Amino acid sequence: MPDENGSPPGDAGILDRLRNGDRDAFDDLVRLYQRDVYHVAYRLTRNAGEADDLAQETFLRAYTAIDGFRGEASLRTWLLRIVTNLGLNVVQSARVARRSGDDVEGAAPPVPADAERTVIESERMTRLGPAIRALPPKQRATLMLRVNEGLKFKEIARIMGCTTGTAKANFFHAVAALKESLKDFLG
Amino acid sequence: MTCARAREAFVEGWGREGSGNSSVLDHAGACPACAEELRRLSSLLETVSADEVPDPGAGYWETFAARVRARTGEGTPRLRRFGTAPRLSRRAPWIPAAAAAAAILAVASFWLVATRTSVPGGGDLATLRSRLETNLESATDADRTAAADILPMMESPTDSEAWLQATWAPDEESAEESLSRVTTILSPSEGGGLPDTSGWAEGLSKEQIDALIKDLAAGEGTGSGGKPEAGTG
Repeated sequence: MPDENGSPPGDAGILDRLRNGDRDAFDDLVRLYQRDVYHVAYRLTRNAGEADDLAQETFLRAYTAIDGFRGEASLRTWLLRIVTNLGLNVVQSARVARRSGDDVEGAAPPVPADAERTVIESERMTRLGPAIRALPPKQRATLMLRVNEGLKFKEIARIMGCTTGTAKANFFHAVAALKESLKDFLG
Repeated sequence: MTCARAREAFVEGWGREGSGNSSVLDHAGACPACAEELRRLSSLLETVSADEVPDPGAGYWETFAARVRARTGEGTPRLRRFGTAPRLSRRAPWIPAAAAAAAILAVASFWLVATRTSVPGGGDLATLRSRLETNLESATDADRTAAADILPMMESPTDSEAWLQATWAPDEESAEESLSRVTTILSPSEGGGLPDTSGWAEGLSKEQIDALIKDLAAGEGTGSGGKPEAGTG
């Protein structure tokens, strides 16, 4: 059961081990959260290479900064804050645009084919990637953290360094833009 | 429950227990417009949630920690006791807080006059100005920064009436929340309003803002959605 900060039980154990100089504790931290971090990195950049770079960089930053981790949030929230901020920097500096030829949305490994998926659903998913990429970075990050990572707006605000109201505003602006982009496919 | 609150509650609870809470469902049952909107919203959110991340493969995950470790060296980070580390520094505001505050005041005033829209829940330009000033006095730097973050959004066309209804609840929120919400209501209406308001007021002094508001309140604003001159005052 999560503690009062929403931290899963594993957090306390890892932190205790780090505090005691356990050499394997940081590796366990990486293994525990590597998928969460990578997924956020990928959704922000839509690029596997960038996502890998960001995920590694996130844990490197965590490695050097964990001395200052005060436990006010869960380790997951803390890591997602690092990767989100790094990812926003990448997106905003248009690094992804310069590297878009190697693994952009359209060329990414496709979602496994589903025989029952209708043509409209397929088209909707095809349109979704470009529509998400067209969102301003902060709106994209907020949408992803709420919908794909299942975070509450309060947690998103903590990660994004903004107020809850700003997080909600970012979210609803993103939703409004996507509704417009996908209006022919939402039924 | 209002339509705006029903939609907000639906989004807040989406994907978790409570997304179908009885109040939202009751409202949707009695409001065909919300029922349709929630259906479309649900469809959209389900589409976004189904957007899968391509898995890089088992080998990637098995070696990831080792690759990170290789970049860190062999040392193991040690934790101090909680509470002894310095706070993380806040990021610098996107624009100075004072400029953001001035921009909020000016844009709010201009927007209200230009669109001839009264403050939801009653009131007028003076009421909004007073409220904004009170909020800004008590706002934290983070809120002012947040306000600055929101200003660029005003370039995006949105349904301002819907936003007004969705974001204004003057009797139910703190000054901080109100400030954040007030910045949100400044979104221009689709096809009109303020097409480019994100930066024009940033460099204005308080005196210039006061003069601008006075002019606008007297009906001398452009009222056409054009960008006012910074030196109006």
